Amino acid sequence: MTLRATPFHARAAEANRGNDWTVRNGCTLARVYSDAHEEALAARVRGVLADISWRWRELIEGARADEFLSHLATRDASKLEPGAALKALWLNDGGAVRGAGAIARYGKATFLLVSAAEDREWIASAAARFGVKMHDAGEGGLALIGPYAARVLQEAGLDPALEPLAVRKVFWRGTSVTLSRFGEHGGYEIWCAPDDGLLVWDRLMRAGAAFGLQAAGTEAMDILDLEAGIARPIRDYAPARDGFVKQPTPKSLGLEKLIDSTHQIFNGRSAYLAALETKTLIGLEIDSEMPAPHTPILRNGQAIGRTLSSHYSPALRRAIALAIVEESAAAPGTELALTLAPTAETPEFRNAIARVAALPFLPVPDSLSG
Amino acid sequence: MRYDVCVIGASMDGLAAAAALALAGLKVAVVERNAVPGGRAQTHEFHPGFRASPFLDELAPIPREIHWAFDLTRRGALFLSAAEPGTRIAAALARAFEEADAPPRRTAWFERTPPRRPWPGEELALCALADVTKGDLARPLEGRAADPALAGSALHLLVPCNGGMVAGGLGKLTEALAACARDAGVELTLGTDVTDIRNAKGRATGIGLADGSEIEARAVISTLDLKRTFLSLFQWDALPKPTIKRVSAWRMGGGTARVLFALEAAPAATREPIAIGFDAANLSASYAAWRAGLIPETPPTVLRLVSASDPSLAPQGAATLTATLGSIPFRLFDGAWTHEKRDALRDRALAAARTVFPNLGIAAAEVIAPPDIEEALGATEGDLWGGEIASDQMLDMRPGPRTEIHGLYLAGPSSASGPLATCASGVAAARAVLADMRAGRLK
Amino acid sequence: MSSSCDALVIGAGANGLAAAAYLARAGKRVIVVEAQNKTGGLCQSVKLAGDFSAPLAHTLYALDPRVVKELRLAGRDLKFAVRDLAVVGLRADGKHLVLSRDVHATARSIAAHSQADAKAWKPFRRELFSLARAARALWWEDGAFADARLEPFRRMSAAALLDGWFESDALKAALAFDATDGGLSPLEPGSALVLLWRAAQEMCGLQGAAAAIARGPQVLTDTLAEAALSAGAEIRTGARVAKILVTDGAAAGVALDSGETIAARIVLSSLSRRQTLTALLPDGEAGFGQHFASPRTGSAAVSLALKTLPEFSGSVAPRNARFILAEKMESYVAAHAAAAAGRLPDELTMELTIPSAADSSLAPLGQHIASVLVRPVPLAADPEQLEAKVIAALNRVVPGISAQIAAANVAVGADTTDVMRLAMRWNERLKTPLRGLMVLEEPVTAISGRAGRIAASLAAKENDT
Repeated sequence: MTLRATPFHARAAEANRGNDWTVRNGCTLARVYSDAHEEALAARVRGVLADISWRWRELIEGARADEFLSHLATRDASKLEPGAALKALWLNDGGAVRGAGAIARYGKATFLLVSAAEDREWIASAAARFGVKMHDAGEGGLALIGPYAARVLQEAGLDPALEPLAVRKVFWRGTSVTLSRFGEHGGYEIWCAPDDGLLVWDRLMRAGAAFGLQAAGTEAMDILDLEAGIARPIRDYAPARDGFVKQPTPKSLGLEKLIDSTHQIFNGRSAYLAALETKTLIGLEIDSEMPAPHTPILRNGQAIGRTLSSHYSPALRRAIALAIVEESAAAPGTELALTLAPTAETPEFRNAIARVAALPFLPVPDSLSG
Repeated sequence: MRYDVCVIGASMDGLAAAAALALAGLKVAVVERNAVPGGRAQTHEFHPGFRASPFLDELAPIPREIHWAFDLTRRGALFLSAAEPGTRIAAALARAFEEADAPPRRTAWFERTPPRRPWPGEELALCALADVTKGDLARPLEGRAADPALAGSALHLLVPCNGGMVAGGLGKLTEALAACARDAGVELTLGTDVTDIRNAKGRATGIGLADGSEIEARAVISTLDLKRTFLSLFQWDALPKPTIKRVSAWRMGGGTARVLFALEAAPAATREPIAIGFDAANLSASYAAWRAGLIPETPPTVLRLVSASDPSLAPQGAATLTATLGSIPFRLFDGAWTHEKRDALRDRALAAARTVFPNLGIAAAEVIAPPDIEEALGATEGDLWGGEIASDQMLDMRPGPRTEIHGLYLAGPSSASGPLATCASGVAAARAVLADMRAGRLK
Repeated sequence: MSSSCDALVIGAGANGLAAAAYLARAGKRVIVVEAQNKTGGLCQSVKLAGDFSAPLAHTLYALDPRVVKELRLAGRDLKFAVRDLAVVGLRADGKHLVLSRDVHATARSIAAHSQADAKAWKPFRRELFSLARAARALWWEDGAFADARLEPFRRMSAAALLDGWFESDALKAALAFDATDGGLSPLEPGSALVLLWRAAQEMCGLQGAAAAIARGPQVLTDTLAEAALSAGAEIRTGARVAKILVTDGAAAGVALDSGETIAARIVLSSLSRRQTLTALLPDGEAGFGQHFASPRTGSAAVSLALKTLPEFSGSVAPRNARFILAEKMESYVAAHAAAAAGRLPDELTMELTIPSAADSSLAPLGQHIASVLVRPVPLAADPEQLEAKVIAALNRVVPGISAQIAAANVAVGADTTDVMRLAMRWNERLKTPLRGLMVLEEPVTAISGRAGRIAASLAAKENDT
């Protein structure tokens, strides 16, 4: 098993004092640089730089690329202008969520697909039917998140004026980078050629020093994702890889807003419309600092759902979780119960009260422009 | 119009008591002398563009159940580091809440009758801090006057100031709690002085305000310290003699001074507090100087580059630096706090800062000496913790929420749970009021 | 060579000899081993310039009257030269505070400093002494604090206690010296308890009195030794204990430096708890969890041979008194801080007596001994510097005294009172993790005999069961 280092690995290693690493999509990433809670809070008060090279990015090229993507995604990418992007799902034939991501148009016949989970084979074989070629974008990427993100870019010599869901290629002091705003945290993504990785990291860190910019590991980013109320593949749910399974449904994952009901031709549409889903995604605030991931949820002793991922939120000072429950139990404020797993300090199962909270748990870190 | 409860002082404890009572359905009024609520939890723009929390950068942690109950994060209070009361403090708080919920004792708080259950944390009362914590003395002793080699100094571990900074300064915390109180229906009156606690036949009936008006209430909660509550809000003939004697003998321990610096250029960013002069010898000598009414040569100082943790506290490119000095006497042996003496404090703080950041360029500095703290917060002798942290003045030797005056409750820094955790004494007072109301003891 | 006995006592000081006497009278075979060549411990005197005999302990205040009575020490030549030393706060301005058993005279003396304090003196003394008697259940027997009024004392400092009663700094400073017994700062919790402990003692039938034994405190240990010997105990001097022997978690005897072993199932040690459990036991026998407070400061006994009787400046002061030289309460605080940091305090706080004023046997005719107890001092105090400072301080109240000094001696020792152990029951205080091994520890280190008496009774009971 070789070390699949990202283009930023050398800098990550210097900053990773606790030598705490993880693997995501085959890439070696820092899990916690110093303290996950401090890093997550920094994203709300100062700014953080996170290595997102592990995301799956494919360039999709071909004369019928737009037609292909129309059939693939739950929103029509063929209508995009160059430099614009949309977020959508792609469903399997049973109407279940197979993937979620952003699709950006670079040019007439060139698109970019970005997703947290890789789904190469299925999409490539579908693309082949339209004569569309796919290949990995092969870049390294950093997310710059926080109230001072725009100012950091300015300080670094990049123009921060970019709409959400827009993408722009920039020639930045001798280096080509792609600047985009696809993330859910109000920040920016900067993608570059692997050889330019360390240069880009250093420039951003230097510019960010005045604002207390620091590196954030995957743990902190997962906490931010959870606080934003977004369900992620692998972490929260297993994407439907089998052709005709009907779970997980977009509704149960709270992803229906990524489906354009007027878009007629996306794969799995009829199965999706025919589905009768009574479960929905909720947020849970647990009366404890112990997280309770993938745990059954009870109401009056009845099992009515389960939690997905769960973390301690340093901003809220309590454990929170995404959960899928029956609609009848989904009203914010509803009191539910779940069981906390035993630990070394408390070697017994304990019950905890959990309250339904409206999503997102917390607003996106406010950006200060100008 | 008669309220159920009126609260003197819109400090964190006052607002917490009010919010807790209003959420329980009671009609609550809070009266605050200053134009801005918060007491110790404030943000102050001491120079255009430069902000800091004037008295302390961090308070004692708020117990998380209280944080959740008031939904402080969603109301805008974001702590930059999340700290929880330690196990000892949590146990002492549980005991304080237990006593608040229980029926009142027949004897005054300063008359203890055996047998008594020991209080959690009491084991520290005879220990020296230096014996109990081999490491960092700066954290427990920041802004204090204490000798870590003397028995009893370990009690400072029960009075932490590590609850974390708040984004935007501690004033944001107050705003969040005030919003919670207002949403629950609390009537908050600012800029109004309370002149006295109205009482008849040993029972508190309300408060008198500076404009001559009066607020009637079934219960009064005071968040002022013990001395100020009893000795300035009552006629002495209205109080039992033992109470006057005990309150007069209550010792204050104020030793905190602050210097806020606006720096022209931001030095190398460091988010950790920098402690200077916290070795045992200097702490001991500084304490002896404090007792003699002298400003120590090298007062134990904690520096914080607060804008490195929270860039909103200074303009871009500049920085805000706070200095917390301990062992600064309220009463100087050679007279009053003059400008020269305040400048001397500023110079001592600057000298300490220059040992860490040479070539520091100061755009402005504001000195907050103990008398300034007394003036701003009504805190007797500038003591932020309501009384000397000594073996005979902590835990059960501090007043609980109930006082010898029926209907008068004490929250705030002098009370048993006051120094242990933020908002705790307010919640304890609220619980005592509710317990007494439910039992029909407050008509 | 080896021998055996029922009880082995390490150290022939007051407590050791008292224990030996009691155990011998109870029929046990007792051997006392003393490292020095003579008995006495803290009761010894030091010879100065040939004919002067300066006691290292210049007053006795904690001798248990039951020890005197039960061991019939009075019949064995134990006599007192002074029964009740007054306390005199010596002031540089001559307005000395004379605090004697005569409450009215004392009030008059205090009135020169504060009328209010003069009024408060009688009630203060009455309450303190009444509380002290209530505390005797704990300190004289193996009882507990029963009186509710005693609870706050555990956590109160002497400074807080005195501040509550008096306003005059001079008066408080004169009273606070006794609170620093054992090395506490008057600001620390426990120091109020030390004041109470002193008031709980009884000498010559007088509560809270300080007395002096005719011909020196050595007479006390000599009479105790006589009582022990006549009851059948054996005393060996010049015999230093190297190790305490242990078998199966119980004391089994001692091994001396000479190689000799003495087997015994009861071993009583006059050494400090720390020394007994760490130096004399095999490693780990006493368990790893034991914590011993390290001494922070020390005290010094400075003995001066004087050619004439000192004259005090200002108003007349009685000769038979303990003179306290402490300007103000803050002097104690600053002195404690300096001493704990290893420095000689700028202003020394001390207690002076002239033992020869009432006992002519201690010095040649017309000449005198001045005995000064200086506390606190740094543990590694330089004797010469200390001596010089003491003499300078004395010069301020007795002008010209330095010219009268014929010889001087300085002895520095560590102060080891542990605040946590002040209110402990005797059972816990004396016993150790090892069966049969006890430490003769007083709540405040003082010549007493009480620990020996109680230890002997506990040891005898345990042995019989």
